[in-house]
Amino acid sequence: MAESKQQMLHLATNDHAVIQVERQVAERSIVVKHMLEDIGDEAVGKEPIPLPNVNEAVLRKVLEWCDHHKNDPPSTGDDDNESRKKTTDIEEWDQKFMQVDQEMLFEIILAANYLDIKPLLDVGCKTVANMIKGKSPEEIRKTFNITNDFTPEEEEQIRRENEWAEDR
Amino acid sequence: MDPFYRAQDQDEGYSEDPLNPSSALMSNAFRLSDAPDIPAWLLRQLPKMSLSVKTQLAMAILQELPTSTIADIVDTLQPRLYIDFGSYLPAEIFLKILGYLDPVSLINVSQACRSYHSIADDRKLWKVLYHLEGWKVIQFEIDSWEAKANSGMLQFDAPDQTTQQPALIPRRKDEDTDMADVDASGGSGGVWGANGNENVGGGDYSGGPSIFGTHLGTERDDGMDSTMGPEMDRKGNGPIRDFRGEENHASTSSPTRGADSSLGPKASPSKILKSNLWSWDPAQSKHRINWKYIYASRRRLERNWEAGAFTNFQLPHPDFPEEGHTECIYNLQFNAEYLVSGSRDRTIRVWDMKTRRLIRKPLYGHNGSVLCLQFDSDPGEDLIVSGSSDSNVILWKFSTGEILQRLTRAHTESVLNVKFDSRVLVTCSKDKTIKVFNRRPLYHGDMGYPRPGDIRDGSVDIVEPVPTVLPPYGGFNQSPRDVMPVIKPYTMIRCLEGHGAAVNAVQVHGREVVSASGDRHIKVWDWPDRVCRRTLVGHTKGIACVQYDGRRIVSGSNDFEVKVFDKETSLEVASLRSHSSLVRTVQSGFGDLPYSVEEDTADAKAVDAEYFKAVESGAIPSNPTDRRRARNAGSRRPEDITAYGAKLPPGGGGGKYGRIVSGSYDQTIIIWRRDKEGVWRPAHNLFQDEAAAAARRFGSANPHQAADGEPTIVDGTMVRPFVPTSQHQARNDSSPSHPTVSTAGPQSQASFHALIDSIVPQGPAALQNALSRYPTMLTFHSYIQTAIGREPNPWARHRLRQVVAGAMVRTQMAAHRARRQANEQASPSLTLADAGSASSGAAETVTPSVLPAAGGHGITQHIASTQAGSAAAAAAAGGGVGGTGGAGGAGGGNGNATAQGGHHPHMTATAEHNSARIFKLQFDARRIICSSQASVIVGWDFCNGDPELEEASRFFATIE
Repeated sequence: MAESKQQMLHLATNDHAVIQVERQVAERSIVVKHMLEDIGDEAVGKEPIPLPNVNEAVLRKVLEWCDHHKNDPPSTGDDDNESRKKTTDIEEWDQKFMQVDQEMLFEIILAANYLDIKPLLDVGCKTVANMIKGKSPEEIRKTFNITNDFTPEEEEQIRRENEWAEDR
Repeated sequence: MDPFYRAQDQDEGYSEDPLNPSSALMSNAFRLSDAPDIPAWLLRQLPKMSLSVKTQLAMAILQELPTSTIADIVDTLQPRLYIDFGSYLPAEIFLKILGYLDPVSLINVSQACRSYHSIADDRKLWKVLYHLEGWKVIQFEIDSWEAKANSGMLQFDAPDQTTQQPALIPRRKDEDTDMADVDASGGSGGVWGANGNENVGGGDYSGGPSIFGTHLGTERDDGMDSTMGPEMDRKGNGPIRDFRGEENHASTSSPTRGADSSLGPKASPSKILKSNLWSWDPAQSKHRINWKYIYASRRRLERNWEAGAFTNFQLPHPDFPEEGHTECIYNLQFNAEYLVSGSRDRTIRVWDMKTRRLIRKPLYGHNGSVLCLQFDSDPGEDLIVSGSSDSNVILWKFSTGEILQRLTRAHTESVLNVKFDSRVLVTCSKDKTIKVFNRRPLYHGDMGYPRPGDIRDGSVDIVEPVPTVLPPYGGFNQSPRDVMPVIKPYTMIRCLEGHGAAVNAVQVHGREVVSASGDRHIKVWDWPDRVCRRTLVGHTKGIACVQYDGRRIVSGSNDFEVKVFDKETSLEVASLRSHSSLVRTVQSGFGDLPYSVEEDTADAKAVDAEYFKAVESGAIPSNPTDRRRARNAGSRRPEDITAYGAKLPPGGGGGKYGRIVSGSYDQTIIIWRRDKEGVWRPAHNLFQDEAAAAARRFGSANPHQAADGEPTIVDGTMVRPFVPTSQHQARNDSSPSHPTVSTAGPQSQASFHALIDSIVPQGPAALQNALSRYPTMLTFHSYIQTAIGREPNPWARHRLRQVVAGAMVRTQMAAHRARRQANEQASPSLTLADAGSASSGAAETVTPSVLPAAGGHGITQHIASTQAGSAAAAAAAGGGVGGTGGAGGAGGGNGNATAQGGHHPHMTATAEHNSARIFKLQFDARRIICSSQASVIVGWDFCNGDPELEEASRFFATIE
């Protein structure tokens, strides 16, 4: 285990960049971890591991997160437990990390999903949720650049159906 | 693509290199001799510029541009700044994001646009939200209704979306038979066009033939075609790289059916249709319960509870008064279909909750009042258990009314409460004992199998087998299970002794039995081990009722209080004081959230920490001498803390929809809710007599018609369906001799309430004056007490209460003189009995058998008994019996035996009307039903006549 921590390997992005990274950092991605297990310890580090769905800029950003969180305990797996209290609290470092434009945020979420880095996906989704929370429908449209395509009658009907939410 | 972006990428790494040929080109360009080179030069310079310079430059260029061009630029930039996550993210990720939202944010999302609307209606999201409120559903009802819906057994009104009809209401089965075939054969192109969600099954639906083709799209004139844009494609799990591209619209024009079952309905090209109880789940090709509708309906129902918006009803149905009990009703229990009541008229009656009619003739079998009962109509149980003042317990077959078994002389005195679960029946009695009966045959080794000594009455001869160890060879090895006798069902397998007075109520929960007694104590027993694990001290008088949910014990007492105890530590965590007489019946539901147990424990610790911090900082004394016993009366302020280490925070923890409903001899029911600090406050006072009058007035009409006319909006507040003037005329007519109601003055409950609200703050003198002018005010005793409770100054409260008490005594004296002759058997026996008993415990022993002694006289009797109680307490104190010691003596039960005979005042129509002590109440998700001294059962239905709520309520479990 000790030597594998020091082990370096290379990740190849879809824009043909090759990034060197500590194995422990790269293994925050379950996809990468499984690939490494499949190819065997001897092969690790010899050939770059292709990640055809991520470009260099995004991968560097993602790896920055992985490096900061490389010593986190593995997630307990019950994060999706529906009986849990909903919280969109994000730790301070992650908050700063997520202070990026929407494009990068979007890319990070997709990359975290693709690379199967669940805690990063959680942080990304919470960040978007916080962008929605407490906003009116009109503000949500602005935030996400979407057009109101309801007819006035539909809008009125939906408003009536949701009247219960206006009581507090 | 943004040209700046590309330039940045390319320049990186070599822009600092002076030998770079591009730099040479740059220096040439610097001469500005070659104008076409300037833009290229500028681009190359950009990475070297500071942010502020770049900004200045950009602004300078923008100022040179016409507005239309700027608008184009803004349009181009929009996607970079504001990305439509909902449309470009894979659906499961967007659902994950929405999963972090609170309900209000989620409905705001659904109002943003069509595609968001469809995904934010996801049934799983709303199912989670529903449960996170601490609400539960009756899963059996949902399962059976979903099964019925999908088998075509439910028939629905012909959908007509243009009329915006409310939720589909099941019709009688003999209607609409022409629709059934379509559903049976169609599968997805369902009968339930109004629900809309089935339309998403395939992209060809909107244009395809439909039995509702004439409806669909009739109002569709806004040019919306089946191309919904990129948001329709949520199928892909991989990243969508070209989210900025317009071309996306073309490539994903046809709606695809999601593989993800949680995806739920998508936007249909047709109209957004009204949300209904049922939704079409395309992934499963099934009709499923619509959780958003369920959530919204529950919210609306809870809002009615908070606003006190209800309709009243009564049993018997006002058109069939002959079906009712003929005397007061001590006990009832109901579920969605049935209500079972037990009365002083010695009968048990089984009612249909919908028709409010008897479903069979009254059940005769007891030779005394039916004091307690429990039933389970489930075919697997099919049982009613009743206990009577004749000391017997009878088991009835619920479905037929036949007597299955009599447990004759189950106790030596009145059986005051019976409780059964699937394994055991627990009974308690005025004879101070609690008995446990097995409900199934018991074999040696089963939990509760009697051990030597467990049964002393000789009914079962249990001797532990001699420990013979037989070798397992020979093929014959008798285990004790085979050797020992099988205990027949309904054998008394345990007797729990330890209370010093009548045991008024029991609860059974696993191995635990919780009992409340006239000896002022609550005991927690381990019944299989036949030991008392805990004794809870707190009430200063006898305890009439108890509830236990595994964590908290809630009790009501003759000290007029409802208390909440932490079962784990025996600490008192809340004390609810607003009733002005004995609290006879209580039900609590703390509305625990899925994570409440951990949170409450943490919260309790935090309260302790606050307390210790305050002690350390010297803000409060560390060892106050006036702390008589460990209790936290529901406040979390450090200065109010007198006990620490509880597993529950002050108030008892739980969720925001928690409630306690208590019924009292002060003739009121109080709905208690917690305020933001967790302190229980009376939210609503319900009056049995008003409810009875309202039920009578509206009951015989069609309930829906009645509902239409009832609630009115005044100044934006829901006003209870209540006709004050006729109410008071009714009072006057029916009880002309009652001095408290025969006065002129304010004519309505509302005006009395207003009068009380204005008079109480003016002080004791004003109140006294008002009370003498309008004695009828006293009938709003609880309201007065609530108003007094709002007074900040404790001394003022005390003075005000004295004034009220004084007025009540005067009224009572007058009434007593007037009625003495007519009611010679009523109260004196109680007073004598109390005076003659040896200890205060006797006077405070609350047994149903004393209750009818004061029947029918409302305030008069209430005061008589209160006085008797305090007189006895005073006598006891004089005799050296500690006020808090719980000295329930051996003779405790005797004083109350007097009421057994036939001297109860017969209930008359008059009594039904003006005063009735509450004997038993129960609430479920939508209603409270109570029995009382009156011979009618009255209920409050918080669906408030709303047929949509009535339909949805069947799925709502009671707050527990």
